[in-house]
Amino acid sequence: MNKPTESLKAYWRSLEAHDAALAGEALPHSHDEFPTTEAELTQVRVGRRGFVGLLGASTALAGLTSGCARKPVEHILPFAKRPEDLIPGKPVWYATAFQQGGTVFGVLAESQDGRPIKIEGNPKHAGSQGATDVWAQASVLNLYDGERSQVALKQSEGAPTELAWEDAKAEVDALLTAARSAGGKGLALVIPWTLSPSVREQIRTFTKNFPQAKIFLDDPTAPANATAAVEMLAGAGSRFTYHLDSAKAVLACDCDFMGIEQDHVRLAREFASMRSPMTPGDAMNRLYVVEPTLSITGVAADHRIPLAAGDIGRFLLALLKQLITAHNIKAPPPIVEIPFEAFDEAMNAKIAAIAKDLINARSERSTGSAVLVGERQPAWVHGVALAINGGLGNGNASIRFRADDNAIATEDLRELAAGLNKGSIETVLCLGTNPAYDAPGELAMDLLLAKAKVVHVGMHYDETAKVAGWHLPLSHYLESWGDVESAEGTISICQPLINPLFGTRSALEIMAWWATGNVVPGDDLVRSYWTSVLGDNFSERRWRRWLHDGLVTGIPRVPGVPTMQEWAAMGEAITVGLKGTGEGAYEVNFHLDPKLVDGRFANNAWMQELPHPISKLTWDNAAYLSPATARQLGVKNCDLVTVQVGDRKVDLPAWIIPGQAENTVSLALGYGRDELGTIAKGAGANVYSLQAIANPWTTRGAVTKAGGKRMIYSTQDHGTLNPGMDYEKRPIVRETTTTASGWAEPEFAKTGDLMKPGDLKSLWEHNTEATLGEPKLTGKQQWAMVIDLNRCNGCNACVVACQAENNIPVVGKAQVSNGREMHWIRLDRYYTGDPATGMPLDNPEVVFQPMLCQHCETAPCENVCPVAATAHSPEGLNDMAYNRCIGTRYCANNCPYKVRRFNFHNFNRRMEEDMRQDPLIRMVRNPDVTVRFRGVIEKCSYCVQRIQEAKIEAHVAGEDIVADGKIITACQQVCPTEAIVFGDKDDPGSKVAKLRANSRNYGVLTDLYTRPRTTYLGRVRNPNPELV
Amino acid sequence: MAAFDQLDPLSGRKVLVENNLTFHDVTEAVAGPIEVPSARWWGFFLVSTMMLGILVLALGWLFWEGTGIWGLNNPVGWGWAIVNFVFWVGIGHAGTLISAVLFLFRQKWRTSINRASEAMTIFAVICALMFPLIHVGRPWFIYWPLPLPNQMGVWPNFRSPLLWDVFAVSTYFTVSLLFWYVGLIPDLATMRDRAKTTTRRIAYGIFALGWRGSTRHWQHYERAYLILAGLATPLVLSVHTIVSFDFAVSQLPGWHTTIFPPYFVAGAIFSGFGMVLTLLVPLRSWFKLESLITIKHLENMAKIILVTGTMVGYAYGMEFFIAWYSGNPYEQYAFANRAFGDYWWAYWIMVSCNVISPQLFWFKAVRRSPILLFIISIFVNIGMWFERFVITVTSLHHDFLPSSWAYYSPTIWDVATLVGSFGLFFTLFCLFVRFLPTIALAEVKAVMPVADPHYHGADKGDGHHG
Repeated sequence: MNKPTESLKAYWRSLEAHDAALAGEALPHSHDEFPTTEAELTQVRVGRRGFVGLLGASTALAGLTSGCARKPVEHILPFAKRPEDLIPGKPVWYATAFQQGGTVFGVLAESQDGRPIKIEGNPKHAGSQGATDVWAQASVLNLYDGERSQVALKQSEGAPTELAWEDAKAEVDALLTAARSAGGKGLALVIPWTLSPSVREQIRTFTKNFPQAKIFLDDPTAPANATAAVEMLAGAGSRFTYHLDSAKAVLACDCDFMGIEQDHVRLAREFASMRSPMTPGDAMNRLYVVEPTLSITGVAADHRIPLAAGDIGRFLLALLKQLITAHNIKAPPPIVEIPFEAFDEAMNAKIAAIAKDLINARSERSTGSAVLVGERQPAWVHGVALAINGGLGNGNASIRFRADDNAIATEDLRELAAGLNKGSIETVLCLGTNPAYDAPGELAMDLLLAKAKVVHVGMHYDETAKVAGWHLPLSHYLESWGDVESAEGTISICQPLINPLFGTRSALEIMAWWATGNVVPGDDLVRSYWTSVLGDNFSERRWRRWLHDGLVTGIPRVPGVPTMQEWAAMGEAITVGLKGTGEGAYEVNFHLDPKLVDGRFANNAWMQELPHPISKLTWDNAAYLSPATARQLGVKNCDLVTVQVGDRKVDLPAWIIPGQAENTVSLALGYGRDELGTIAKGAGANVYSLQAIANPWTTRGAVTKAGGKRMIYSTQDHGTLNPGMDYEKRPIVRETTTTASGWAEPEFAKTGDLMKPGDLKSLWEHNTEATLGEPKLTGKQQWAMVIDLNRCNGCNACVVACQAENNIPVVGKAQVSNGREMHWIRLDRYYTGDPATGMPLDNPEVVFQPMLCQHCETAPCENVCPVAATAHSPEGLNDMAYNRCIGTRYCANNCPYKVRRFNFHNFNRRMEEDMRQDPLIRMVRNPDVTVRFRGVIEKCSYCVQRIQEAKIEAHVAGEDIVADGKIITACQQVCPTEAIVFGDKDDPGSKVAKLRANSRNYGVLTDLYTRPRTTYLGRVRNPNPELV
Repeated sequence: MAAFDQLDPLSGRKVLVENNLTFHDVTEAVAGPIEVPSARWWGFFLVSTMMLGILVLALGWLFWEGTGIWGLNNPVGWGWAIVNFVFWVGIGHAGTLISAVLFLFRQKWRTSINRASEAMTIFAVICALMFPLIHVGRPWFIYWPLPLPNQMGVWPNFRSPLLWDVFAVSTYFTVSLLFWYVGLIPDLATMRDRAKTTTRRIAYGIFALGWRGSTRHWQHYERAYLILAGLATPLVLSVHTIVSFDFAVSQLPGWHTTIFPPYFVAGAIFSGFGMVLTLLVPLRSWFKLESLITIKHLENMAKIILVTGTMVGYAYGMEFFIAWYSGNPYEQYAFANRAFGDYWWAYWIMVSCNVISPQLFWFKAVRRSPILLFIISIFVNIGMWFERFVITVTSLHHDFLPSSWAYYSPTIWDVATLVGSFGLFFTLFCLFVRFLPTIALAEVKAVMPVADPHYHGADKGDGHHG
């Protein structure tokens, strides 16, 4: 008998399922059957709560009163007088901007009763286009980090002592006066990647007043390599940006342009715009990814080639050669002539196919190609890509150049180290930078800085602050005035939403003070800068419009266009670069963490608990190894490995990732900051110490099995034994591929249904009794959601946005280890491809599937709740009445999608009491959403608070129904690729209704007759026929 | 061990009370231990109350900190608490079966074991009832599933099997308790009449409801007993049927099967008789009740265990057949995972204890050996606990979406709660054997050889004795 699922592709949850040799611990949270015995016993907090509480509870139990754990009584007071222009409970939105490395988003920050609580993208801003990313979402939590630096500190006798700001200023002023009289000799300023015109202006003033002072760049997120390449070719201040809105063939080389590269939100959106075919004939772009470790961009690829990071440059040279020899493109001679070691036949065939596809894309009208190189690659590799893009004619199309006229020229940290070593640098000013932590370990920067007089400005008392003589607290961006210019030139004014919570100053204010000696409020600095730019054209009205829109307009500009000409120099750089750096059997490459970036989010609980997009690890980093490399080393998940570069070594747990290039180990930066705060404590290992000077991102070293284990926890592979037994052919994710004539299987979204939809019968429909029959969907509007699996790239933004919007608690590593994370939306990651049919395990295809409450019309959860705490709304929402829930968890058991989350503890309080998180964190909570107490189930509500808000607005406006597009759920709003669409399914004109009618639309597990309101558009891959 | 059972001189059937005891002998044998507690009783009682103390501690911490102290996680929302609930409810089946069903079928051998089995039933149901109350996230609202009128006009959800459970188990408990109590009345009167202290006399007297043993009393008593037996009989089937609905009505592969009601009832009788043996084998030896609870009684129970164990084994097999026959890949995976997945060991413990070990009862020598019966009854108890564990946990931990799969392990508090529930059970049972006649005196006397009007006494010599 043929089962309907027999023809399906296999989707497997983790690699271990296929390879018993790699099967890690069967029980990741323990070796024995009663794992947490010790932990649970030690958890009994003897003391105020523990012993007396236990006695009390036992007594209460004996008396069967058991009224011991009700909500604690809290008293609140209303405004005695309402402040003018403030309607309590009505949020106010302010336009501002968020910068991280080279990426800038215009954002709208939501303020509730004066508290900023949520970040949304500014639809008018080119960099965000209404969306944001995980970090912008989580940045609001940093504001309420109680462990932020709050006062100025001075190092005396090895211990920090508090200092009044004025006293600290006087002492630093003394340093500056001395330096100024010496013409700035011996003075160093260490700045991050600076895109603020006002700050740049102050730095220029600083340079004027301290002519011999040196300026260094310290920012792992800075696009330093790409900038170095284009500056080498076209002179200082040259910049370029990638654009994918018209690229039909895209080659991303070690470039996670959907995840962490510069402008990732814009690029992800542009890429997705050509990625969602509605009919088999629709055009699609094609993505090739060459990278050492699996990234979300690699997951989105139609063809992915695992390649060591050190071989990417060679790969591009081979591609260039192929383009020249086979397709006669033009390239600068100094580059063409460089000899390099050729690849093997198989790789050459792939390169030939890619070259042909890039050329084909060019020949089609109004489309083109793009070759992207990631920031982790050294400047010379960017140089080769620039040559290829030039040859393909992508200039001003998929790659655009501009001159950043007032860019600050900075020197490398190597020079700082050399200066400190020689003693030529005596005073170091760190403006929001942390070189003692994030400089390559080979520099031993912390030891060098200890020799100098260091003034550190930062949001935390961090690694550099510890070696600094003075530490000054820095404001959060939501507390500061400022401005920022995005990579392609969009300028925004940053306005504060709240007065500094502590005695902090903004970077702009401090820079102005250092430059001029005067302390001027930030708003005066920004305003006076723009007044000076506009001259007479500046007006209050214009200023107000800038603030309101979040965009600066009407600035006179003379755009310089850089010309790339210094190819000879680039040729030399390539020749040097090809030799590679470091020695050892393994390539060690580093990457910015998809959660903590360079460590700046280390004390952010949302980001620590966010599952890594690929490995789904939380609260830890790991040494990512390929299955073959792991086998060779004899290690399994969680086994400690020693990674050694030179004489520096770090032990960290191994994690096996299919798709990792052979003989490479990938390490995430940003961890191991035990002393930063309670959240950062114990999370991962610091791998900056392994970085080499020559190329911080890629080097070679040794990897050995260290013996021992460190248990790290993934939210998806909550480890189990090899399940085997052919679980993999489940019609959960549905996909097809394109062919010359359309799709390989036009009705692929129906494939795998176990039952014909017409054969499904409701148990309840005969019953007309309201409480016993099917829910009566009598609402005027029927809400539904469609998620496009072609657009979704698994970037996690929705997970954090949902957490911020819905007050979802963080549970901590120990609870995650037992699968108790609370996220309402999760991104299921499956590896696909059947080893039996030749799909290699080492480089499988991957799919993401956002999974959230499906709002089933005949919801299995609703039947089984004894107290009717979850019930259907007339508008088709599966509502959850927290107050009614008694916590039987039956609904969660009966939910086939497993999207219901249970408050096993009072998680909101637990973070404060057990993890000693500052209660300040409560300020971030959304007053529109209930904070759940322990013992109740919670789950996605389709942001019912936003639905109600929109309905009220429509009602007030006298409208019968809410117009399509008025209600935007938090996950939908943040989504860079617009993969999530929400609306009224019964309105045939609505976007969601049209998508539901599309042939790609399918529901998950509809065989159970759940009739889910959340449906998916099946994935279409667009492989190159020559490579299949 | 008697090689041959003693036969009744008149009917030729096996006698139900051996060694020609007189009425007085029986009263002394049963009431004696109640009036003079032994050191052994004190030992057992102290151990039981210590275990009960563990329960109080575990529940105190549970109420203070929440269900998070257990090993539960996201896919596995029900763990040991529900396993224990079903386990204890199952055990609570034998008593009513013995007293009500066998009563209606005129199985007179029930008389010497029904009292203790009914007591066991009630205590087991008390233990069982505790678990749904404590396993919820907010136990202080546990009364909400009751259909109590309230100012908000909110009713419980009558579609929920958990609500059916509330009615089924509470009804069962009420009827079982009444049935037990009504049966106790004549014996309480005996105890009252034998009482040597005022306190005892008054205490027993209150509960004896003024029983004087008149014919009218007996007539009312027997009619009430018959009616209650009639009421209790369908409950034997309904309770575990409805408990099985908790699983069968859900969507989950491994739970969602129509075989559950009969399979659960058979399993419940199986486990109930297992527990009766576990309790009565030592009891008859320590209280010297071998003449009343004869080897023949034990053998009969062994036969029931053999029958129900085999039925349970058939159900195990049939589940696999149906999973295969359904063609449903989720269903097939659920059962393959049960036998060969992460919890394979639990499955094979279950099969060994429940299906294989009772097969020894095909041998008469085994059925008639109290020690072997006791050992196998322990296996049955273990096996039936694991059956509920296998059903609850293995179905939950790997269900539809592989992304959500996880492994479940209990914590020390899960163990403490299980141990504590045994503490509660044994404490109650200790109190029972200390204060109430463990054998239904009045009923046993009615089926003794001497009760027969044609009985001429052993001393006349009837060729069967001496």
